[in-house]
Amino acid sequence: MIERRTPSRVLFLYANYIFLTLFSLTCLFPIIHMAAMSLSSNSAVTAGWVTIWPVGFNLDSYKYIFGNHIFLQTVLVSFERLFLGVSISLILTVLAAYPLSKSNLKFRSRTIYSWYFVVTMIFNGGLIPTFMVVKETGLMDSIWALVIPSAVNVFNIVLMLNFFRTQPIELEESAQMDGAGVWRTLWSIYLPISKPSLATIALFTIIFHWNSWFDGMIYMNSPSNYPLQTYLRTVIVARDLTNMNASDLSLIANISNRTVLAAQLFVSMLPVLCIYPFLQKYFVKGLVLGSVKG
Amino acid sequence: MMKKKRNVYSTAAAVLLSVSLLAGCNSGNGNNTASNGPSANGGNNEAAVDNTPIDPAAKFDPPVELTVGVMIGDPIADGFTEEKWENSEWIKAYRDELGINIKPLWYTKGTDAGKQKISVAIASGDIPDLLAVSQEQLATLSKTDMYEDLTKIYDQYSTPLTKEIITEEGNSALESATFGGKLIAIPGTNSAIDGASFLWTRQDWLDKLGLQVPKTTDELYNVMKAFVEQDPDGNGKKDTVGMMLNKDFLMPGVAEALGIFNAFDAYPKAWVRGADGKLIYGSAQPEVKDALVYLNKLYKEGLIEKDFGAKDSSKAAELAASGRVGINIGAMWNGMFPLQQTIDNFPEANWLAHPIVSKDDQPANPQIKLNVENYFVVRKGYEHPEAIMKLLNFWTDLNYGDTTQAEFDKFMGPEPAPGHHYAVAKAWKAQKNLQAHLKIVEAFKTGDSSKLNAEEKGYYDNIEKFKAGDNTNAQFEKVFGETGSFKSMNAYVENNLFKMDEFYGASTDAMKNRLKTVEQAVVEYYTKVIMGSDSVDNFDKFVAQLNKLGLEDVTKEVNVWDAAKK
Repeated sequence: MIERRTPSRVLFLYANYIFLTLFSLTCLFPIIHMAAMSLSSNSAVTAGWVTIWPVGFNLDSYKYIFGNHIFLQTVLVSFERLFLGVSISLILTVLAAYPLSKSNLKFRSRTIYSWYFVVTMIFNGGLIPTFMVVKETGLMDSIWALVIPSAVNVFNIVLMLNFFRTQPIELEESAQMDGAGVWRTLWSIYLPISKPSLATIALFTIIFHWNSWFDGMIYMNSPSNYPLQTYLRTVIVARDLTNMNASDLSLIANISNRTVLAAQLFVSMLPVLCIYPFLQKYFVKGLVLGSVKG
Repeated sequence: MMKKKRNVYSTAAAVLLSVSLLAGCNSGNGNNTASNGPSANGGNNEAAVDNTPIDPAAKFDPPVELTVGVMIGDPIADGFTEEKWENSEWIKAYRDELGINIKPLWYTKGTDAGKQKISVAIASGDIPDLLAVSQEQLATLSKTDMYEDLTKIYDQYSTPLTKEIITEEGNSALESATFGGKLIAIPGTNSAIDGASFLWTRQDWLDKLGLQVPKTTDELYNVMKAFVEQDPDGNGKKDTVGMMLNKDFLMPGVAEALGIFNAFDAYPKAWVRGADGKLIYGSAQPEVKDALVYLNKLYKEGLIEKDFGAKDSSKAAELAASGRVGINIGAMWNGMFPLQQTIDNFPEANWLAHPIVSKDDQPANPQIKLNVENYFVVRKGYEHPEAIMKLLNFWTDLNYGDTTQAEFDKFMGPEPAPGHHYAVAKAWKAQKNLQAHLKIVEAFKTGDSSKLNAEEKGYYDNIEKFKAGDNTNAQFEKVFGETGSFKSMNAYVENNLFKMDEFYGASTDAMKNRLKTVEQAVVEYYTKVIMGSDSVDNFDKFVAQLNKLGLEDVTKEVNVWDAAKK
């Protein structure tokens, strides 16, 4: 289509660009602000002098966090959780979604199984029963307590299932004609064409695992097993200064260190910030493929 | 005068304690050890067997195991390792001297995570042998059968010194842990007076403008006005604010307004005794109106920030760090945080704490309330519930008994001593910090610092450094030094000015369900009045609304509690 460059059109374009630039700047500002704080001196930060440029530039807070064994340990736990969580989730999702995507003719009790899954989307046991299940199964204080309870996300199964259904049935039939079994069909035919959906689900799962903190707090018995976000929460949540113990007085100043906080937040953002651009192109596509056409 | 008496009493208690250590203490007669007469076999393990006198200090033989949940306090979180905790002097001493093997079931970092973990443990019905809980958690626990009744254990196994500390401010601490006549937890007391409000002012600004330290609310108003209009920081810009204020201005701490309310004889959030002898809720009393009108005047004239309603305390405290404020109402520790940061950025700054102002020539009464740090609950069915008392006795004896300096330093001294965060059970004396201040002042007067304990000596040394020109240690002078906030604290204590919250029981049912909503409505209405979008003319309507929200039920329950106490 050829655009006509009328003055009002040009005006609209400029206004649009300016608006979008301002909008993206408001999104960027908090990140830059935090980066600037992490590079500033503490007294300047508490005085509120830092906006987007560091005041009293120094790298102390980064030196501090990379010398802090608990912080590094929790980063490791988070990556371990990410790796286990995403691979287990993807495998289970595909294995559940594939058979459920078949028609009732091929898979007789499909409807029953589907409902079996969907019910858990609406009803769940709640915090305490879940906690007791985790405890009684002996998962407490291990990485599996963070991975297994959230391994199957029914929403992702539905997404995947709908995607499989949009594929022409002829694909499967031709594979069978050539002698492929069920596993072979899934592995060589279906998986290669469902990359967008897989990427979307992987991204969902990555973000879920990277951001969750509550399970780490209640299932872990030792801070060295905390995932990163649980750890961050313990340092970020506003401290209850009302009941400050008298003998902690001399330590109060040390714990109000906001530059270290900013540095930790900034570092924790990096992985998702790095992954996102690469998966984003699948993101919208995968969502739309699964839902609208289904 | 009162203080003297107290000192005599604590000396007496210490003597009694040493007697009890030698003599053992009769089960039916725990309060009066001296009359038991010395037993030839003092301190022997056999004393703990039934029907023989119970010795609170006896060692468990064979040793017993005690599981606990460990909350890693924020101040020690940085260098914390589990090995360090398990090998600390405390755990060793519990094992070697008391025969109690402490087994941690979990570690949590920070108070918030710790609270969550405990709540989940309570909800799932599986708690460690010894659990340190908050007031609300205790109220929840009281509805279960997970706790051991400690009434007898407390009587039989606490040393006179421990009893003295727990009951230092009357029986209120014990009563707050008593449900249906049963003592279900041992209160780990903390200082109530340390929560009182002070008026912090920038002395260098007062001097510069030729002003006196304000004593009345009118004088305070004039000082703030001058701070805003006469450019006290001398930068030629009108960028200063009279007073810091944060959105939760009824919470004691920093940048609060309780000191202003107290100046007008109003005591928000506290239960005070009304004219008819019944307990009434301070937030709903007419005295509040004067304070609100006063704060509204400050707001209208720009003496407090226009957007205070959107700032939490650390955000409000930025004003101090950027040197734009001259008045702060807050606790005695404000000199360390956040006011030290003013000095970091502006070396000439000089914050000093004074007693809060008053509306007339009568001194105002700062409000305080019972302060219990932790309630120690013992799991139902644990075979040796007396272990909790032994742990506490160990603590009180070490801190307030006849311990040598070397012994004290081993636990509480400077590094590598572990410090109090590693102790499993603690109960503080109400006036510990005040005593530290008085002893430090004395030491500066006489030049003899040998009588100070390790902690006090640390403060003393830091004040010396400040006097030699090291500004980063100004905080110690501002709190413990001769001009420190405890000077004003001492004035409060000597004149007996404190207004104690009259309700110190466990949260009642209506309180648990409704009081949060009531408190929210209070802060909302107060904020509106201060900002001028509502008026004190609607105060009666506001009180009626509070009653409807549940205040009426809460008041009824509080008075039932009060009547039952007598």
